[in-house]
Amino acid sequence: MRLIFWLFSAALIAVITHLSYVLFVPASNFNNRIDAALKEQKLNQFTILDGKLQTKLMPFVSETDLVILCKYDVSQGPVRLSMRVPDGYWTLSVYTMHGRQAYALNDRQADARAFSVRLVKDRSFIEQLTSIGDDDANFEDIGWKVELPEDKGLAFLWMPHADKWRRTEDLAEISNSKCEKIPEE
Amino acid sequence: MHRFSSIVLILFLGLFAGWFSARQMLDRAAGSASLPANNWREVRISGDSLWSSYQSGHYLWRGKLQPATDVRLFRRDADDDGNALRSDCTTLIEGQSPQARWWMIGADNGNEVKTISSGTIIREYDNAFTVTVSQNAAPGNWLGLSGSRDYVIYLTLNDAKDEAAKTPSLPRVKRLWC
Repeated sequence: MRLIFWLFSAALIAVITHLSYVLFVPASNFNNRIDAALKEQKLNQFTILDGKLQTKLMPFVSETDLVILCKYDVSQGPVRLSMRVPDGYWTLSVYTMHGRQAYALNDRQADARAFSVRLVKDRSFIEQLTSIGDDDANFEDIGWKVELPEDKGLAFLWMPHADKWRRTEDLAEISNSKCEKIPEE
Repeated sequence: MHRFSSIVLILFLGLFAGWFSARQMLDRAAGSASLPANNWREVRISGDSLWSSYQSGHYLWRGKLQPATDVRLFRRDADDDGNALRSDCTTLIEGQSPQARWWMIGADNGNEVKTISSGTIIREYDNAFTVTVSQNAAPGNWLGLSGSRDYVIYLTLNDAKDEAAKTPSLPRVKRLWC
């Protein structure tokens, strides 16, 4: 009986360790790398990644591709991505800090060269019940709304390019995009 | 004293087992595959499940985000005859351009990653292509890897066209010489 108790205890500790490791260690490791790589970048602001850095952070991206990235934080209120994009294939992805893709949009789905995406914190069940009807009453933008399960994460637009010259041309247009906290009313 | 040592032992065993199993599962998470065609394996990017925590963890642990869920990802670590892919050998990848808006073939030996995409690849008149993976420069499409390490080849299809995407025609991989 005592042996079973000890074995059960060991198994319980193993399960807790296993889950804690899987859920927290890789995300923490990635966050440290992002923070080290983007020392200068402020929250809720787009940064254009240089070719070498983007191949380190993103899987299956080449140096000639164009990537602009925003570290968002919706804990203090919604964040708006106001995008200006050239013609051509691109995808906008929103990831949580635990590496889960919360949202994706591409050029065909957007079908516009200027649009906005509003990032908001996912509401709790109680908040959903108490705020029926006033959900988007004050949202003036024409765009998309993404409810996020976590406060912080990364939003980035990826546009593949065959050469660096085309990259430079598209950069001028994409750099007009903004990632910003929506001011309180 | 006996009880104290038992507690320490159980604690150590539990921590080690939890840590070891987590590392093993994270290492293998990206290898989940379901397409044993010519040694290609498709890595399914799951959106929202318990397994997705392992998949995203696999990439995050290496300092990268996991691929987007709309990307089809194929990988292989052997040629068509089952030989391991080694960068001190010359290997030929040949096939037809996949039906996707953007696609990329890469070779990754853990130290360096070389890629060629649909935007840069040189094609034949019938949309066929060949890519040489070797240490020494080769004419046409070339992925140059140094050293003599094993590597993996991957193929990503972005926004693949629906009909063709169900059964994509994947390139063949042949070892020419070592």
